[in-house]
Amino acid sequence: MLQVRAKKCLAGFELELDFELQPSFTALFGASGSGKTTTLNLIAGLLTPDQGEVILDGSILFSKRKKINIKPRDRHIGYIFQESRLFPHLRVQENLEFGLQRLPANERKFSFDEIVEVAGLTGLLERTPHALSGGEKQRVALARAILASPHYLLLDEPLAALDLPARLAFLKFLKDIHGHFNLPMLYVSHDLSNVVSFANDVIILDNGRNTGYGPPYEMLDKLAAAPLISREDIPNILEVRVERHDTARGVTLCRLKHLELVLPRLDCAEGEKLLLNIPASEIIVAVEEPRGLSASNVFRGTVARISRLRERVMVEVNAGESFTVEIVEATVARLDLRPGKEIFLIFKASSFRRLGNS
Amino acid sequence: MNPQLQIILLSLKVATLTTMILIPVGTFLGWLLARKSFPGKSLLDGVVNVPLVLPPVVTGYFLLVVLGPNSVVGGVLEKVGIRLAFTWTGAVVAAAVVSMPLLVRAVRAAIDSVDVKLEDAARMLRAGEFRIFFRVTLPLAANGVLAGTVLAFARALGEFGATVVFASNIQGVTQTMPLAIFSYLNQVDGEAKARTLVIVSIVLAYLSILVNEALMRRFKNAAG
Repeated sequence: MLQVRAKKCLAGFELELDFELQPSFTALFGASGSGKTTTLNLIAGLLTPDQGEVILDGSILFSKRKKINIKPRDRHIGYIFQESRLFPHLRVQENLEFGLQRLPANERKFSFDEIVEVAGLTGLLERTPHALSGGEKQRVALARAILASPHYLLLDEPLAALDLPARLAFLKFLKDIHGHFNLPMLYVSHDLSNVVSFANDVIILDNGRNTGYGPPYEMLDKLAAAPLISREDIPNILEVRVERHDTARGVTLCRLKHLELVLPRLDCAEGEKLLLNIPASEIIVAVEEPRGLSASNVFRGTVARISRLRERVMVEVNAGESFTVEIVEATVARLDLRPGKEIFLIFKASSFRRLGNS
Repeated sequence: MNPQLQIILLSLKVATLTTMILIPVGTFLGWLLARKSFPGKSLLDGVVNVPLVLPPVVTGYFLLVVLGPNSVVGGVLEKVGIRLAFTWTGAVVAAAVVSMPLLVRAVRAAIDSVDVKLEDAARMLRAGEFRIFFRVTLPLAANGVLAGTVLAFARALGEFGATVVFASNIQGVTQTMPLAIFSYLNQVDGEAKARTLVIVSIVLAYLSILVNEALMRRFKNAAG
């Protein structure tokens, strides 16, 4: 658990924080200038609070009253910055080893080869940072931070410079890292759209104060007033396994848990794992089983939750896998949608966007 | 040995030793001034830099006052068998004090241009100040530091005023190239003898500037 109770006055800006975060994947939202980066810097120790305390898993990192201020290097906190901040004079391998070299063997939680493998950096080790794409740089930065065996990971809008497919693929990777290594994370973003389907919890920062904390879909209502959501689509990221190609029908069949998806013929091997995105606004909802449709993917599911985001309505549907569907307000009334109601989700085969191999 | 060769070798010895002392001291001071804030910083900045604009003769005079045989520090050093004034080691001290600002300024500028964000990143990867300096800051500032070193070496080779006052112009002991040229030119038939040393001085100075420029270009390219 991360406890922060801190005040910090900066030129023309006052930050006053008071929150406790569960060790999960937490997204920190706030408009530009709401103090997100400052919050991370106070936790990391790169900035010193004027008052208060910062406590991680019971150990005091900072306490004004007890005159404790642990150095950043001794806080066991990893930090991924907006810019990757790779050391330009070191190769990828040397960058990765930087945090590892002085680490006592008994403090090393992760094996080098495993992290390199999971982060997909095997072929890049000999390169210099100049020769990497934006997404690769951030994967190196993330792997480098994880190899230093942190107890907590801070991420400051690490995807701002990436395009949407790269961003979603990175988020999926991050979520896997979180699950695989049980590493709690605080992820800063100014745009909820991408992260809402990944985070376990959301904390909201408004003008230097934390104003809300809870599960993402409970926080959406609070966020409705804040200018945090772009018109960008909410993604549904699916990791599917390619079952087989059906050349006669010109389709590829993929499996997602117990669901079988029919996609346009994809260029990939059978048995391969793929990352797909289907935007929330491209899923159609029906209250009766549809017949005579051109769309080839129809799944039965139950409405789990309905949340509103200003004029946008998000319906969370459990169909074995959880999907977020975006509809308009009028549809909620017309179809009498409410939690627990059984519905059908309809996907057009061409709505799936391929993000890359997982 | 050819007396002129002897003079050239003495000059190279003095300038080389000066540079070897300057590299750690100047790099440390440059880093201190670039990265740290502490009481007395502007005083230190002034003391380090003032020999750049002070007449070197005045610098030499101050060295005599502080380190000369009649001074407190000089007296203590004398007791442990170290004598600086009027010796070749004194020529090293004089050259070091006069060349120091060139190196410190180059190091400071080079370190200033290294993004502190990279140092913060290293900090979050559990690196201590020592490791941050040697693995991140210094390698990224290296060409700028080297450029300053070359300039300081050249300045040490050409040092005259502070040396002539503090180390004196003793043939075969403290007489470096500039002092020898000065002495030759004061002799009736000395111009011919001075010529070789003048040419060597010009060549070394010119080479130093070329190397300095090349290093600065590399530094700027790497930084940009």
